[in-house]
Amino acid sequence: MWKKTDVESNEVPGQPAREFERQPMREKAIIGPSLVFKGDLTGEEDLTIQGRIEGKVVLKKNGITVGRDGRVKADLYAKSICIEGDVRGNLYADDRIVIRETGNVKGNLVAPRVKLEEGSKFKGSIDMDSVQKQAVAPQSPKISTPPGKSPEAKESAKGVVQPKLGIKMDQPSSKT
Amino acid sequence: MRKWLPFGLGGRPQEPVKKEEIVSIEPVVHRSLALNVLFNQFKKEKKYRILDLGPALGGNVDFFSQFRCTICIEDLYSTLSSFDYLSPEDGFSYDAVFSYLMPYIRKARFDLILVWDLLNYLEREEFKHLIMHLGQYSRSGTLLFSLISTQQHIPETPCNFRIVDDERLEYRFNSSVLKDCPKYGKSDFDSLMPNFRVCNSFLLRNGFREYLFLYE
Repeated sequence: MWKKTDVESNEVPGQPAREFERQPMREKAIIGPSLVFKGDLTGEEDLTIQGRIEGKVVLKKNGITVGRDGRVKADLYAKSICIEGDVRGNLYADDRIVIRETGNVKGNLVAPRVKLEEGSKFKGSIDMDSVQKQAVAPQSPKISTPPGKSPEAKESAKGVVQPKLGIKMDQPSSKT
Repeated sequence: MRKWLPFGLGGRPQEPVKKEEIVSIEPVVHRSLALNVLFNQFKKEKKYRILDLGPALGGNVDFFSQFRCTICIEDLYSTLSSFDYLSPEDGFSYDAVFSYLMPYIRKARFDLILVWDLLNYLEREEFKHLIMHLGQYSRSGTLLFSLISTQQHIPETPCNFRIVDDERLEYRFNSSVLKDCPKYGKSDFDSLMPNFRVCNSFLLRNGFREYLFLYE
């Protein structure tokens, strides 16, 4: 299921690698394009997602990359997160979150540094307050379904169901 | 199912004005006096809650990253444009749609709401109900920034606005086709947004008037 690849190596083309000069190998797991994973995923290595994931991914000391073919419906927790594919869920990073130009994210982002590249698509909230970032509890992503497209949505549009998802704003603000 | 929102306008799509002197769609940077007033009030140590009704633009996120803030990005026009909605006969209500699309927790209060040029694309009822909805998430002192066109015609779809710095705004046009502009003015604001008053307004040479509204 997991493919291991070396992502760092001291090898120089045309020269034999000398073992004693090698840096420690940093392993990276890949969920390939044909793979579908449902559930909670935890670990201590970098992960690239090219397939589909539903659930939760927690790699607090490592990086998560959602590749162009990646389709994720999950909350992601990592040191750094890079999105090139499609994500519905909340992203929590201790370092940074980058949404590349091909990335499409609906959810809430919590990280000290957030970068949206030109052309990327994003809907949701971005919390760049490093003081509070650790205290934020995971919430469901705000994923809008048009009110006219499902019976539940129709009820919602009529005011029967009031979805209460979305951003976390738990403290009254002082005046600007 | 027929499309009811948006907003073209209120289910009555207008014929675009096909003029030869179509606006250039090259991005242009203009000075923004309202942004200057706005960001002079911002303090680095305070935490701000910002609602951006425009699309997610990296430049704007980068700009706001200098402040402690939470930004909520809605891209409201494209969301509304891409969905099919119930017609009024089906029990449609503006409140329900806006509540569905912007379902913030009840006690959420924003310090700044960036509406950009969206109001130019709304019919009066749409305008009124959007502002009513936003009012639920405003507090005394909440600022609302909007660009109201003073021209006879406006691009068929809203522009994207990128904050260059605290006194310059880049306009990115998404359409070279023009349509009629409702040309909202002070009397309209008095009736359509009763809880907001004009705090600052600046007439620009580019055909927009910048407004900072204050929620009271």
